[in-house]
Amino acid sequence: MNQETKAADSDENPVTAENVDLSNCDRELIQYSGAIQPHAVLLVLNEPDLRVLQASTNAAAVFSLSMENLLTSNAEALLGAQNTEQLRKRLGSTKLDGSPVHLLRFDVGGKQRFHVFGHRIDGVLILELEMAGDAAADTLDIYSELRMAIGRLQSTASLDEFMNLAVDQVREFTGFDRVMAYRFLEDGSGDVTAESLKPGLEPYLGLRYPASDIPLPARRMYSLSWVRHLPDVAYEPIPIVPATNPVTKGPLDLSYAFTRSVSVMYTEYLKNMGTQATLVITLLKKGELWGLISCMNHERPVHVQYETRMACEFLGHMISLLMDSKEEIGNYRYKLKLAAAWDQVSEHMAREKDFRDGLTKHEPTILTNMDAGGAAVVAKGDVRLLGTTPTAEQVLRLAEWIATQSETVFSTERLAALYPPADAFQGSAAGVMAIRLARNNADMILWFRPELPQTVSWAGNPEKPVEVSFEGDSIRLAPRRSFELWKQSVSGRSAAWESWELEAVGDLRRKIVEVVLQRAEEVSLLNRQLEQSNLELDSFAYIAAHDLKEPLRGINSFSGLIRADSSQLDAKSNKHLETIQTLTKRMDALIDSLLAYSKVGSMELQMVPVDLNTIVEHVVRTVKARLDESNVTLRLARPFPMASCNAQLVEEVFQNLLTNAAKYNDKPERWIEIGYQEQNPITYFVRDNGIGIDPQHAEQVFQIFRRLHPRHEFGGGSGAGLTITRRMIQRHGGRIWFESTPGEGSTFYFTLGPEKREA
Amino acid sequence: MTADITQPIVIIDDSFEDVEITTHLLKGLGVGQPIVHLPDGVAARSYIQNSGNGEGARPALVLLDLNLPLVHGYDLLLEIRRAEWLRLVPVLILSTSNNPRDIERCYAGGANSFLTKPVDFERQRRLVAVICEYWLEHAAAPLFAKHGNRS
Repeated sequence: MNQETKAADSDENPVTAENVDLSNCDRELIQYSGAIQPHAVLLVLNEPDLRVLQASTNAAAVFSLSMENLLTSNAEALLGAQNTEQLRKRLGSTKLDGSPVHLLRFDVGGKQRFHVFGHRIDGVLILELEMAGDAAADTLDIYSELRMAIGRLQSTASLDEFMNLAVDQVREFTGFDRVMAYRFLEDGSGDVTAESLKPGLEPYLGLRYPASDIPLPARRMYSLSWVRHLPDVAYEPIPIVPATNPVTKGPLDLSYAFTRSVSVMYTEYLKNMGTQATLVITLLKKGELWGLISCMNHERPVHVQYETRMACEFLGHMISLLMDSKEEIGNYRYKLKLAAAWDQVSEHMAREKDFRDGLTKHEPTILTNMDAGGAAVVAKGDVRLLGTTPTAEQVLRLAEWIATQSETVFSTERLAALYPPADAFQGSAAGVMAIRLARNNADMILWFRPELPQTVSWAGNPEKPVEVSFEGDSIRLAPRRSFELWKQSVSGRSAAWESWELEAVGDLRRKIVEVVLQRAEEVSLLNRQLEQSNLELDSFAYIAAHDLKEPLRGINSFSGLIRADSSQLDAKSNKHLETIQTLTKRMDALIDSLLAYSKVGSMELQMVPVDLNTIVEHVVRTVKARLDESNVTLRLARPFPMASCNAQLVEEVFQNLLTNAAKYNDKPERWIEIGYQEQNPITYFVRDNGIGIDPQHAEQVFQIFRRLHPRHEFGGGSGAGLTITRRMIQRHGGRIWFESTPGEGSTFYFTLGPEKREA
Repeated sequence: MTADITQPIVIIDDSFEDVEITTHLLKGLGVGQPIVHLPDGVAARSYIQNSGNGEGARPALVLLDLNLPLVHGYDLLLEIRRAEWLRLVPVLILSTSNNPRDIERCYAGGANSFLTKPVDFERQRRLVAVICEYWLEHAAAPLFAKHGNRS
């Protein structure tokens, strides 16, 4: 598939057909080959007199003139007056400074027909007279065939199917032995992706050709013309005489002449490959060279006629256009499937408390419709895995690394080349695609593709694309002769992530961010509602207390009235009324406790640095009378450090614990010790030598209105003290607990901040 | 007694039982003034707005409950303070509520005391006795130079 290349070169030793080899073929001045292929005749004319300046040597035979006579002839003499008049008309109306334009048809003596193409260069007119086939032009057939071919191509469902049909159609059209669709890869090498061939030929389908087989200048040239044809690889070049153009005084520039003799590098390559004739149709995608449809004849040369070449060119245009849409359709279906999956995923996300459950727990998951082996969700250092993946630890490290590489979407099909630790998990993640969910951490979703157990079948050893021969003291590089299958295994690479796959996960990323943002908004709304309802609850507690107390007061008061007023009341009835009053008083106390408890829950806490020594001092002063009365000795081990807390609540905590310690004591010598332990968080304690608490009542002592003793013992009380105390401590994020030996005493411990988690 | 015998004691309270007990206790203490009971916001407002034209005697004391139907006692307090003829009359908030917010705003709104109604009859009796002794016997009543209705 080597191609001639063209390069303007001002070397002192110009590279021409005389001295070209593979080391310099990309500098070969092929436009100055000075010869054409034998299926055409070339005339160089002067304008406006249309005098013959130069001619290919085969012209003599065609026009039955000697070369001397030919070179002094003119258009009228050669083509006839009528054709010349038509020619002049076309010359006057057509710009001919580029590719050759079909100007007219021309018959010589009723037997040999020609298509005449013309173009101007360096001030001279070049006419190429291409030999035409039989007069019965099957033009009509060609167009109806073309129309059917396009119809069939349009109805294919995938790019593969489309390409297979395209090569079949082109082969049917042109009659070549072999027609291949050839796709260029990023590195310039190319794959045969579809092939139609005559039975018995060895298929090239799936083969890869090294980049040097179609060098860059050739690829560039392909993108400029739709069809290139070489009817006979083994042709004998027909020289153009005289070699020097009489007008330009230089070699004739054949840059645009399509029947120009081509590079020997090209023909030699084709011969080595066993090819006798070629036709190449260019395929463009969005204006870029995408690939070729390459036609080859192995058994004999074939001259494809102008009409058919036009049809091929048209087909090339159509295939280029349709191919693009076929590929889009294939991608579009995948995209649609993913988009539908994302919709469901985001619904799940919206329903789940933890958005990761929405991504991984329900079908479809983030992996279901994605062409990947495994997926992972990394959030706050926690990893969830789906499918075939590296270990959680490996994924976590990888995510941390990716977070340093990309802001939003990251992808590679050769991870290990960028991130060496990936060597260890090629089997599950040779390629990775990731979307980041946050800017400031490694939260992300990753998809993995395994290493492709890929074997590339090269058409010949890609390491040795040339033959080296020694001729005397010079080295000559020639196109390789060996096209033997050469297999190479490719490692460390996964299937490529397509651009629209990246787009699709980009969409998912936006959806997730949306849901997460919406979630944050919902949380803040809930918080506002909670604040509001706390406020209402606060008022509610006072109002409820009022409403509950009013009848209570009535009962108590009227009982009191009866007792005060009725002198003839008997002792028993008096006692009953007194009990009623006692009960209402207790109810009153219970309501007060409930109110106090509710206040602790709803009040706004301000945490400030507090000197606990002042607090304890104050508490001791408040309860001093009661302590003295109960004969309690107070022990303060050492001064307290500063603490960040709410002074009012902590004062109440100490007061409650101190009061309890003094109250539940039946010893003659009573003591209470207050102190703290230097732990994190600091643990405060209030210790006594009281009656102690049976450990089986550990939880009950903290329950509201739960009492462990008959009401009349130990001074009574509503039974809410420790509940409120615990609530106050919890409001600080701390906890309270106790150790006790019944009969010997209790120690209540508490903290004023959250427990430190183990690192 | 420094208070004029014609000056009523106004009780604004929706609880007839509470008012009955309070009235009973006041009588028991020998208080001779008329007692005006206003059981809701409508009655209270009409008293505040219409009784100022020399028809009704200026009260010696207003006992004001906060949790009332249709209106909050705090709003009545403000209306009392805005009414020229009642501007300086001692108003005692007598409520079950001891909501700190209420306490603060009632003092700010011109209440002379904030007292919590005790459930216990005995304590209630003592409270009424203290109020009578303090506000009707010891405390000096403001002089009403312009609208004076003392005889």
